[in-house]
Amino acid sequence: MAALTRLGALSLRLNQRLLQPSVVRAAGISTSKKNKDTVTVTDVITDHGKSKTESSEAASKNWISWGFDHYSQVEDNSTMHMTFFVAVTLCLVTTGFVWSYLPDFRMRDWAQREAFLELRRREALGLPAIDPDLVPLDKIELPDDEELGSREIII
Amino acid sequence: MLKFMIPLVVLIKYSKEWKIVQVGMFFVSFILSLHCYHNFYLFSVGFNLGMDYISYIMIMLSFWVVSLILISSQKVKKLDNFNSMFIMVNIMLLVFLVLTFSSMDYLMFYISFEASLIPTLILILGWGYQPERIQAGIYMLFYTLAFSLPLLVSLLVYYSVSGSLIINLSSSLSGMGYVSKLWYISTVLAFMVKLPMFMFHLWLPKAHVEAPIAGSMILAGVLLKLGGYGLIRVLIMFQENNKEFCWLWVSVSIMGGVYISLVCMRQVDMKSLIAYSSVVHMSLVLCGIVIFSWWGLAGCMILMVGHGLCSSGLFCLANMVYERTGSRSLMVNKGLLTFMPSMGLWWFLLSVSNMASPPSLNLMGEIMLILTMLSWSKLTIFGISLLSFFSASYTLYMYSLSQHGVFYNSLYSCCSGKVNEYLSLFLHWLPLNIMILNSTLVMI
Repeated sequence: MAALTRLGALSLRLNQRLLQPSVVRAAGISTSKKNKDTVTVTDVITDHGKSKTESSEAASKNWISWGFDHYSQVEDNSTMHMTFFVAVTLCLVTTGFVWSYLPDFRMRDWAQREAFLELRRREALGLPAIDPDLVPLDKIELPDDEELGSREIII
Repeated sequence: MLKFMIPLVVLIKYSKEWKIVQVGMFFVSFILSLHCYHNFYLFSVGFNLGMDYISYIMIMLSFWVVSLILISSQKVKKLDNFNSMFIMVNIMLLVFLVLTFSSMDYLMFYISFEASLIPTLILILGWGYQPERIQAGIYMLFYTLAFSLPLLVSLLVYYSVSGSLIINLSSSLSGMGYVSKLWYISTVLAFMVKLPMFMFHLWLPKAHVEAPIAGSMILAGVLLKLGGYGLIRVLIMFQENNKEFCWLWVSVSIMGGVYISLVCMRQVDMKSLIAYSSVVHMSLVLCGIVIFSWWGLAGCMILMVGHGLCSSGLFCLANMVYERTGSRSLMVNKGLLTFMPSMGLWWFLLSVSNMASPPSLNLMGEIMLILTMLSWSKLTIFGISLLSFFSASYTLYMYSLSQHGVFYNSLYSCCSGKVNEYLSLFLHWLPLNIMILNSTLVMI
């Protein structure tokens, strides 16, 4: 896990251009006349090459943190991705999927099937649904009055 | 069980890297959640640790809440306020909690139960904000300790009487007159204080208010449930004595719940309000447990999970406001919809879950518990109706006072919600509202 983390952080650090586009089109939109009569539209394509590390700093000058790390944009971004993956994709989505499709959780369906089968068997034989002598009377031992003493009987 | 303990212990090694622990904690929750398929009564057994249905739910909740703590406590990380120590204390707490919930032995349970107080105390004293936290820590520590020493004695006596402290081998004790009554009282009082029941609840608002967000979340999310869980485990031994005394606990809880919800309506401090609302919810849970019917136990499990998520989320929200305005007072933090309208969504969703609106787990838990209490005695309807009504009214009071209206004039800047805050609230709310669709997962 730690190795995966470091790999992810390393790849993001090296590939900082993943976070910003390499070619930025800076197109001016002002079309008002300046000194001349003709209208000039400046259309500059600036290239953020690998040498322009200052502009990458400028791009992250107004960086708003996702909330996971307030000092490093790369750290923040990678933490955000990892946390969301584990928390949402794994814990919520995958777990939700597993939980909703669990086969016969705690044997409830089996128990209901058995109950219906038993009922059918009993109805075929003409027996009542539940035997009134479920617990045979001779097996029940109630305490005598002396044993009970003054204890309250709560049912 | 070791497959969850070992990753936890390994994570202590990485306590300097917040990111790794944060992601790792979620990962272990994921692995734990995949262990839900169990048709046997007891599973993951080993080294006197094992899980059954209730333990599984509680351990899952603990892991989830601690993961959310790591997301919500970004201020500790930002200010570099003893980061690795913070992570270590949180992981230690989680280790003790997992030990508590998975122990198959009463003594192991007791030791971990008490041990979980120490990291909580360290959290409150170390990362709390106000000088009153010393008193709050003392209250929490001594309330819990004083009432749980009789529990230790009763467990040792039980060992000498029955020869074993394994929970699954415990049998109901036959009555021996007033000794068994004393035994019963000394055993359950520890959990009554932890839950907390009305008369022993004083430590809770203090501890919650003074604790940092991590402390509040773990307290509301998991530590209160220790009381409920412990009661379920311990009442196996004392079923007959419990039947003689449950009128006392139900009466005190319900009337206490009504008084506390009225007290809630008078609170000015947001965290204090949420803390008192925890007492109200737990009073319902207590009623469900001591009545000890099937629906009572199922309802209390559901309400424990629901309340853990909901209260924890509300504390997150209160902390977000505190981080921005520097105050927890409702008089300062009003009109927040003007500053953070998106956060208002989460305030709303968690507030309505708090007042047990559909489709939250709280609703299902409260319905089951209300039915349980009514089936036990119809007189409880007076208390329950007042409790439910005031519970809705104080939640509405908190929501409306904090969100609606004109904002406080002295607030000059307020950072809008960060993504990690929204994530934390979403992860609180989604299980709370989705799990009702398959609630057998959280039932006993």
